[in-house]
Amino acid sequence: MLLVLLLLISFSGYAFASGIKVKVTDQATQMPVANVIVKVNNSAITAFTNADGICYLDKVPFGKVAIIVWAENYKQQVIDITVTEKTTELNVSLEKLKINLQEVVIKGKVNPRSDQQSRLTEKNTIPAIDIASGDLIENTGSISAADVTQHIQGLSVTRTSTGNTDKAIIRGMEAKYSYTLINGFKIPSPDDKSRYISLDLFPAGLLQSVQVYKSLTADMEGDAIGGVVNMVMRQPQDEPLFQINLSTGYSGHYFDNQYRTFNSDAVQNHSPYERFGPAYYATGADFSKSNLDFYNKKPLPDVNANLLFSHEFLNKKLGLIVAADYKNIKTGSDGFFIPLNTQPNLNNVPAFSDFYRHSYSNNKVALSTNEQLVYKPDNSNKFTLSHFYLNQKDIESRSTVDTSLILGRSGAGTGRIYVSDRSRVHEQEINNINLKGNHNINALSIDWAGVFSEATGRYPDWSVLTANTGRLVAPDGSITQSPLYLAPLNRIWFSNKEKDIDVYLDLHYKPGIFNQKLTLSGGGLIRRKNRDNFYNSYTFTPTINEPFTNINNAVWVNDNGPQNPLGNVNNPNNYTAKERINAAYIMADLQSGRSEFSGGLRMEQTDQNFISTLDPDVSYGKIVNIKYRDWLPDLHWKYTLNDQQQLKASYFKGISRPALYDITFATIAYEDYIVAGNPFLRRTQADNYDFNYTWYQTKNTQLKAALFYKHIVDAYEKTLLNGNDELYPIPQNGLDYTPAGQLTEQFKNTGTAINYGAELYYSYDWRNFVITGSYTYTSSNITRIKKLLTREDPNDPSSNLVTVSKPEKGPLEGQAKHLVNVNLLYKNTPGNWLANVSLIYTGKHIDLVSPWYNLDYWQRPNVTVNLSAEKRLSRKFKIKLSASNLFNNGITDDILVPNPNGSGNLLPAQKQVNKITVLKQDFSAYYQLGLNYQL
Amino acid sequence: MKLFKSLLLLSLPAVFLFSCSKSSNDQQIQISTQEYHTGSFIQNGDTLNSKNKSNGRAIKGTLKAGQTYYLSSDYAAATINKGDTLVIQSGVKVYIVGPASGANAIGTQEHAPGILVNGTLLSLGTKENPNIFTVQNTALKSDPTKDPQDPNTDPAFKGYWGGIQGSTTSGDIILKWTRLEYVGGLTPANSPTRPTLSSYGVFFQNPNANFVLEDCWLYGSHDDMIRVAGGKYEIMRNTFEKVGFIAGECVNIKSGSVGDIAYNVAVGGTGNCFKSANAGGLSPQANMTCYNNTMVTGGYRQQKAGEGGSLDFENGGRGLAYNNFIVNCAYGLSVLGGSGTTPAADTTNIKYGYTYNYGDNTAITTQFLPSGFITKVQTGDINGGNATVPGANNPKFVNYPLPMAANTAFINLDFVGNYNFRLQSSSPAVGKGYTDFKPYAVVKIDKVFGATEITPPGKDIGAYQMDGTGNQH
Repeated sequence: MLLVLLLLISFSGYAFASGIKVKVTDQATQMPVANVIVKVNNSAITAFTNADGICYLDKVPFGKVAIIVWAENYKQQVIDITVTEKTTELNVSLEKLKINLQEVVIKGKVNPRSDQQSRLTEKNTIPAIDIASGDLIENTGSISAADVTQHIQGLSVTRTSTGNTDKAIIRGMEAKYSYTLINGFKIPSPDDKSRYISLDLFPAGLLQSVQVYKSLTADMEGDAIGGVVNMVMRQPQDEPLFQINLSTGYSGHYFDNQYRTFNSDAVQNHSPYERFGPAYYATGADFSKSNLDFYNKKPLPDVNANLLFSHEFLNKKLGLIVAADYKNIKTGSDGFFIPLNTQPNLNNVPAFSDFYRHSYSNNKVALSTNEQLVYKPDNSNKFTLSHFYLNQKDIESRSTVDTSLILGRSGAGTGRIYVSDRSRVHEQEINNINLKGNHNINALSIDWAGVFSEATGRYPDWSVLTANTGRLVAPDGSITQSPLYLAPLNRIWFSNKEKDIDVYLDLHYKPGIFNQKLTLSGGGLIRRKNRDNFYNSYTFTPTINEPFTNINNAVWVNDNGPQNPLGNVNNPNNYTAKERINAAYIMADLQSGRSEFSGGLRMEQTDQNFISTLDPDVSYGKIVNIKYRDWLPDLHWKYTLNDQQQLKASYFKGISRPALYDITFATIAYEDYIVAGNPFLRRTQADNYDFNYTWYQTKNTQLKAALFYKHIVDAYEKTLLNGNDELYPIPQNGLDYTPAGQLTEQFKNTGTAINYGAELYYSYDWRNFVITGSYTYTSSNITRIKKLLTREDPNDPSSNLVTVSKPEKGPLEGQAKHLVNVNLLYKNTPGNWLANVSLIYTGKHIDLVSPWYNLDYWQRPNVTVNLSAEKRLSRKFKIKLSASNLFNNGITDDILVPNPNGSGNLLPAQKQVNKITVLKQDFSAYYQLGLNYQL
Repeated sequence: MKLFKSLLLLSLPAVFLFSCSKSSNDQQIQISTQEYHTGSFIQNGDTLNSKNKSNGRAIKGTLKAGQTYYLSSDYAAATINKGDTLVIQSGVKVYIVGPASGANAIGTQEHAPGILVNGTLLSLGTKENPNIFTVQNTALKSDPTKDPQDPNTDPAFKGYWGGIQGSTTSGDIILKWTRLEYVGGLTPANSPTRPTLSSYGVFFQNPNANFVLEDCWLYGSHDDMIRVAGGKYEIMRNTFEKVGFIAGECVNIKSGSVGDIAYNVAVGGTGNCFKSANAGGLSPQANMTCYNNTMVTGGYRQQKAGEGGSLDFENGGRGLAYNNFIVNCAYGLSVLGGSGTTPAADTTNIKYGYTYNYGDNTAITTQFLPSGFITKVQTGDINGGNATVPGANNPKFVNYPLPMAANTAFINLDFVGNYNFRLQSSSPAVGKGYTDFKPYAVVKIDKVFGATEITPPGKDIGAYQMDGTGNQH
């Protein structure tokens, strides 16, 4: 009945209505404006202008109506007219919107995930900052935070073995020179060695934006030289939100490859030692077999889903957001790797012992949630309770054919061959909960926060099942292949847990002088970090002449049990570490005319303490205490040239603390080679200068330019030590230091490095397109002490071979001289279409520093092209399609010395004589199809 | 007695304090010190690695002639401190003792103690009264009456104890007329340099100190029997049996080492008998003068194809190899090399020749010059080339059945037993040796503190000379 009535009303309206032609032009240029939304207020009558700026409004009811005219980049107009039968045309001229530098004008009215909000934040933030907005995250089809960061100028990313983006390199400074925040709070790392957190862990769907600070103020933690990545998780918003994104994906790798896997459910999360205690004598029955039983299958399509809910309660005093993300993604890659032999041939002609052909299959299964509750009892007080949880499992198999380049090799397809399969599950978990408060009491504002976080990483039952055979050439040229025999097996459990408890306090005071333009701030941080590392391994030795078929038929000595039934836990990889950071700062901010000055001084006191399982009867160093204090000044200046243009200049001092693992006495022995920790490693200290210019022409048309210069003292790098080189400055046996004793790799301070460069960013708005391009030039220089294998008397070929030190200059590891980013966004609002193409170019850079002179692994330039498109089906539904790394670009590393084999085939996979290709990893495109529902 | 107690476990619970003078560095580091135990003198019948239930023990002084001492598998290693000396007179027995089975069984990890040498170790056995380090419980030992036996069940390869481990700053280790058996137990997990690995029989790693191994018997190991990763060495007139389970060399020479390997007999080694590779980055370059050795049935337990069994130069190793007897070994003398990207031996400084190869089948004879290596036929070689007819030039040992039956399992022939590798007067090896070169003789001649005799190159190929010189076993 009601329906009938409604129909009648609308029919009655129909009888008294008019069609109106609307033409929209730009006020300044008089040019027509396309894609303008023209809407009759309080009705469903809506139209979009065409390329001539024209649209038609049908059946506009007679009488007084308000017509809303809105276009991106233009000021919205509301035209009140009285429609009669004579009303047939309406001309509207729109005024182009200028981004106003006065924050207050727009604040609160802009979608917090939009580009616009990000540009605003960039403008209003005094340190140098670049922000990847939620828009960018959506438009580029990013899956993880790492995918997002590669679109930011000055940043490049490293990749995992199956091609997923991993860690960010900021301005040529590798991950150890940066830190990561969630909602402004530092979180501990689930990584087994480093402080750094893989950005692959953070799902793009939960991100509001990614902020990259390139300079620091005194209220920020000081241990960044490259920069800070702040992941802003989705925040409660004004409008109720319920959103579901559901997508499926497939790696192009599996169009024509099989996915190799094992039963990961069979992996025992805890070693026999952990399960049965230290006195337990493990037998073969304590070890599962099916996680070493490998098989191939065609993978099912992937799942990538997330859900968001946000609502406000209690008269908008209480805001809530709940977000969850689930991923099950399979990626794979093929490639090869030729590691350098532990030492080269005479005069550092590279020597290689093995050629590894690897094939990786990775399955990432991750669940993350983000919840935030914001309570604003009044305008002066705000409480925020946030929680972030993440659990990611990387189930990875790696099958390898290792051809010995030494033993029995007389040409392609001959010699000793190892065939192996690695079963590895890496589980990472992060739990971060924080409560913060903001209070304004007249001229004083107080911010406080308490943070508890825990990060866990574990590799349960990491093992490589290996068998070997040989193909030997007889004098008559025939090849004899020996049977496939089982090789020794190690089964390793290792895990790490880091717990942080932090308390933050910040006070801001406006003393009411200088026209309220002065803010004095002070505050501090107390952090208690505890880290536990656990390592346990079991060794199995095969019986002699045991032909290999599979793990179920493998026979080991000791009744199929391990050689060390008690497990190996009493080793330097087991340690507990504590780190206490006490920091305090003072800071002043003054606005004066067009300038804003900010200066501050931060003090950070670091206390580190380690206890290892080293036996004090055997060695010193069971307990290590390290203390230092840093004074970190900063000075920032922001100058507003006019409404559109702004300059920023800054200086700050930053540090980089070595990872806790690197400063223990941990020692790992390889055959002929040792990797040793270094408690004497000094933190890196750097003076950083930054200069920024920004010109905001319209919302999407802008120019940004930046220059930076970093003077880095006590950079540290992996360094190779000779037997006589200093391992530790501890006097031993008449020497005033402890020599390494043999070839040892260790982190050493390598002296002073310089890093400078420039960034240029331009985005241009043209009709339905936004074209964005950025270019970054970086140049760094560090002197590393390398080794050279030469003759004692280079002119006497009968003199002894000696290893001598030789300094070599080069760029920082991972620093590419040239980075280019191009992004083309096409928006067809009337058609509800959006498409985006991006291209990322990373120039040549050192992938791996060799401790030997002139033998670094250089990665070739690399281009990635990503494509994504979305079409809105209705107000509630949207479909999305994306392809990342469309052209299957992988990575290739070379040693830049001539190949002494020329075009000979003793070294496989060589195509050029002027360099030696030592690593190649083929990555595949990843395709996604998704559906987005929004209430 | 009270004096001993007070000397015992004297510990210095101090802490190093380091702070750098550089103004940019205000970093303060405190490191807990090693708890130093003063070496204690040994009584007859003492347990070397524990006193009053201490876990491990620092020892010094003398193990008296004819006495018996113990290493208990319940405790950590015995240590000879820097500056201390342990002298082992003649006829001394050191028994490794412990439970035969169960969680704390002898030879399991943390239950395979050895002797850590930071100071000086002199084991002065004599031909008449040799010293012996072995497992006491005969039930745990290899039964010679079962030879030839399956290596999978032969206890010789089990590795019951931790051998003699010299540190990078050790003093000299001099071993004369000493028998080392059943070495190769897993190193402790907290071993500063090699955690959870099979220990070597003797590990020597100080390029500035002397290592002498003379007239010794080395029987049964899990991995390398002797590894010299730095040192001046003389390895003369020893007998090696059952070395290495699935990997391991009789003598493995690394960078920082120079010396002589001569008149040794090696039977049934798994990897190479004698190998020189310049790995490890020490000076001087790895160098061996390797002559007049007899190598029999080596290389069969090594399942990895392509290498191992007799003599090897690779990875920058240099030296000489003359007058060596290689009998039914899986692979002949190997020189890795040439140009290119292979980790080659220092081929310009390697000289070899007068090698006597013998093989009972074509699998052996076609690897006299091993595939993938650059070894060439040299002057004075007997059966030098890969075209040698199996069985050609029978060496005519005093007691060793050659040619072997066609179906012989060479893998089980890893013992000397009653065999006698001396030469019959009609042997083609007699008088075919090359003597126009000199040993390095880097260690002084001294009955106690050096080598008793550095036997010069012999005119008969192999370890036994018709004039009675050479190997005395």
